[in-house]
Amino acid sequence: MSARVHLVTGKGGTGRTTHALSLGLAWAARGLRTLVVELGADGGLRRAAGEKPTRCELASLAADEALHAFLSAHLPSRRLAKVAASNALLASLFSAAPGTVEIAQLDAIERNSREYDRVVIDGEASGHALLWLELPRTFAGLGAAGVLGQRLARIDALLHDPARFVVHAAMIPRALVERETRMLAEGIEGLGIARGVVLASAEPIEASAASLRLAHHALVGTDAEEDLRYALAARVRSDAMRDAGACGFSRSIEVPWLERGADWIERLTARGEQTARQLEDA
Amino acid sequence: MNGLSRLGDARLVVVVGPGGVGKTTMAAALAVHLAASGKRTLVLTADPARRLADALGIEGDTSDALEVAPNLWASMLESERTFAALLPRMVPNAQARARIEASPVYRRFSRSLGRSHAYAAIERLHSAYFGEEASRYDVIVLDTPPMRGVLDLLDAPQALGRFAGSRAVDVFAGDGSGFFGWAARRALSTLTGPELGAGLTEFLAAFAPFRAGFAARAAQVAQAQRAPSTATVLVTSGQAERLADARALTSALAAREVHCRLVIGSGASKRTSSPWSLPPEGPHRAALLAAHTYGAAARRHERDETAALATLSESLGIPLVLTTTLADEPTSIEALRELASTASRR
Repeated sequence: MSARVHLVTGKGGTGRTTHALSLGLAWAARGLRTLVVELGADGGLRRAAGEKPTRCELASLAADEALHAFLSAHLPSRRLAKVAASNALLASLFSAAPGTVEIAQLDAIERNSREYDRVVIDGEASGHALLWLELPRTFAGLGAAGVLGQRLARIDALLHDPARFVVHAAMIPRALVERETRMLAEGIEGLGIARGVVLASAEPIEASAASLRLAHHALVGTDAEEDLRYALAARVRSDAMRDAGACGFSRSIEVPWLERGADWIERLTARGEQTARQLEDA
Repeated sequence: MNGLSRLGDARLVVVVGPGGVGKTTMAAALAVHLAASGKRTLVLTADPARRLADALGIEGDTSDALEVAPNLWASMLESERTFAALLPRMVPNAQARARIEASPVYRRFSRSLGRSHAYAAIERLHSAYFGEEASRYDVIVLDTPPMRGVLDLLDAPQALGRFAGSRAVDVFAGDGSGFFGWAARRALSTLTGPELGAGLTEFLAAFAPFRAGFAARAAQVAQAQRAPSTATVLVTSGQAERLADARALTSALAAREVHCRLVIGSGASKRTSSPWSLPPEGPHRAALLAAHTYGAAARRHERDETAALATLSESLGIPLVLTTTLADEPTSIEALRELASTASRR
């Protein structure tokens, strides 16, 4: 699986941004021209990179930038584009109408997918990501034609080409996450979009649940009891995540737990390379 | 004394924060806490992921407030249903309403993305806070989508006001003239094609008489968020990424004249037992070693994260409350009450 555009989504707090950045860093380190985009103006992606320049390009597709780029890229005459982009009426229409920003973001991604070797999207959480992926058909269903109609057709072609677009789900061992991951897989399948892998991270605990349980029973009332109880609970959760497997995606990849600190970018790049290799084999 | 007493007699509690810190669960726990203290409490979640439903045990789709415990009502901010339920209030004229409901643009977008969630949240909150429901509740707890979700609520009056105040609708509906009107119509038609262009124009024309009311309600809601009787609560964990997000969010809020009253640090203080030393030999060796390593790392994290949260609280000048992570995720009212009861003042 070496699709050009990789969307990383999943429940909040599952490490989407870190996964997106680490894959982007790894592909850039191989010499591929790589862009990692976040979909808002939060700047979370840059903060995850430690505010330092990276080998991969980082971009934010915030509302105004995305809309402005859309208008100037697609209006046929320069004069019309200039008038439209600076037209307060049109600007007010677009900023009040839902869905336009999202279409402009998808459009920018489609255009970038032709300029870069790899585009990694630090996506919104599952529910929003699904609505976002569904939007081109929503607009098409409203009878969009003209420039928008042509652009929607190209976006639609990108999203539904498994060789060019794939969706991955970040996952951590929490009960509610598994359910959301399965719902996400169903949603993506329903849209006819390629399901990639589950990127699963768990804290490493080097003992089996059975041995932790035995020890916990034997050592009730000692100082060790509390740590045994927490370690057991964490171990049981990560076993359950492992058993849950791909949750409707093509396979599950175990991504090592990473702590921030010295050589963060280097370690993140190395982890990304491991993940990217498994993902490309999937 | 429970650290949540800082919420005082707030009429509105707005819960904000980065994604993945247990914000929705915390909003539910705050609501359970307020309801238990005798306040008639409504909790509204703007999160379409339905986490609150899991935590509170609400089943099914509803934008009506359900009584889920004594003094506690819960309601989901789901755009399509919210608009359907509130449309009569937004557009009192039945004929105009029928035109809007028949519009394919409205039908598609009422359940669609991004700011339609913010608009739905505004209408829902307005109804609960200012409307006929207002007398039913002493306090409303509003959960917001991660990060910029709350900023969308605050920025909506500008976005809507710009639109409502402009001649946009008249121009697109073909009533306006002049070069700019022509250019705008021409650009819209070129961009979207005649069918969608006409659909948009028709929808806007149907909404036109009511847009001022819409913008006014958004302004009232934004004003309510800044009122002294409103407590904005920042929920974050002590991880570096989340703290950076929390700082960015706080300054974005301050730029909009919203100041947080309380920082709730989630999951910063799990361990109650003291560190122990690993016995050199004996039974359960592997399990003890794993638990010891895990426990030591967790204690180190807790210490670092608690210190980082304290630094955040000091530098922002906002008091900090720490809550304990329960061994299992709270999925019942009881568990939410337990979570709220762990809140301790620093």
